[in-house]
Amino acid sequence: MPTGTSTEEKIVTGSAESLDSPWRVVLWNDPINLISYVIWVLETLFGYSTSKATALTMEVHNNGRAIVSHGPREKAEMDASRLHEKGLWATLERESD
Amino acid sequence: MTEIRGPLKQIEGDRFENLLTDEEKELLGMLPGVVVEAIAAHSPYVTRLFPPTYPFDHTAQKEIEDVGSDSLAEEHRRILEGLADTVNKPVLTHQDLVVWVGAINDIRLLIGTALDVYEEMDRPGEDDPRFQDFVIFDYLTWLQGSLLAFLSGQLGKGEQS
Repeated sequence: MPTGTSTEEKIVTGSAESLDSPWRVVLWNDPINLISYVIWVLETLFGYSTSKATALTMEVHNNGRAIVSHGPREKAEMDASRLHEKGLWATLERESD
Repeated sequence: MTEIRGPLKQIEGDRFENLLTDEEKELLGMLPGVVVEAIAAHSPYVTRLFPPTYPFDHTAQKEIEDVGSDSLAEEHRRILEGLADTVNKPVLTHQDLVVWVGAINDIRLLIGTALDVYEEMDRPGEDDPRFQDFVIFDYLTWLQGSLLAFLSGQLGKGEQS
């Protein structure tokens, strides 16, 4: 995965009134994780097809980030936690942002 | 001619013969403990193992850390110790390979952070004090890629070369 990812973007606000609004799980590029590893993680964690996992991984690789999951805040936090367990760099943002 | 030997050979189904050399097994048996100790010591080199969920919202980040940071550390320890515990097994299962891939990724994240690795980075010469660490990092990169190929079924039949 290439370097040069900017994290200078507006990521999230965690206000209480946003609990029911949909959230996005953003996967960020990093220079250490292998492309093949990221594809495999997306396949095994989320059950994505190889083509979908590959497309998302290449979006991360080329654009620095990709939205890999979304849903209520609790689900999004769980998905991010599972990605963290695999050593991937995931953050949350509200879909309204 | 030099024979290039892969790390595994598929025996049947999800069973794989462990073809690592004694030197590789010794290295892979030792490195997980280094990462576990670094986690316990809150080393700055383990930051990539604990990425923030809310990097720009300190309140939300603290709330989620209060709930989940211990379990995340425990998960990292579990897979790292899983690698150390199984590295000498002569026959590995698919689940062993899953644990190995995750543990090797954690080790690569620690070493890569310590070396400040970036994409297409030139490797230092043999006189550089970081040389040996880069050799280990690149070996782990090769090994992880090889294991992923088996897990993905791309090279799952016969010995890899």
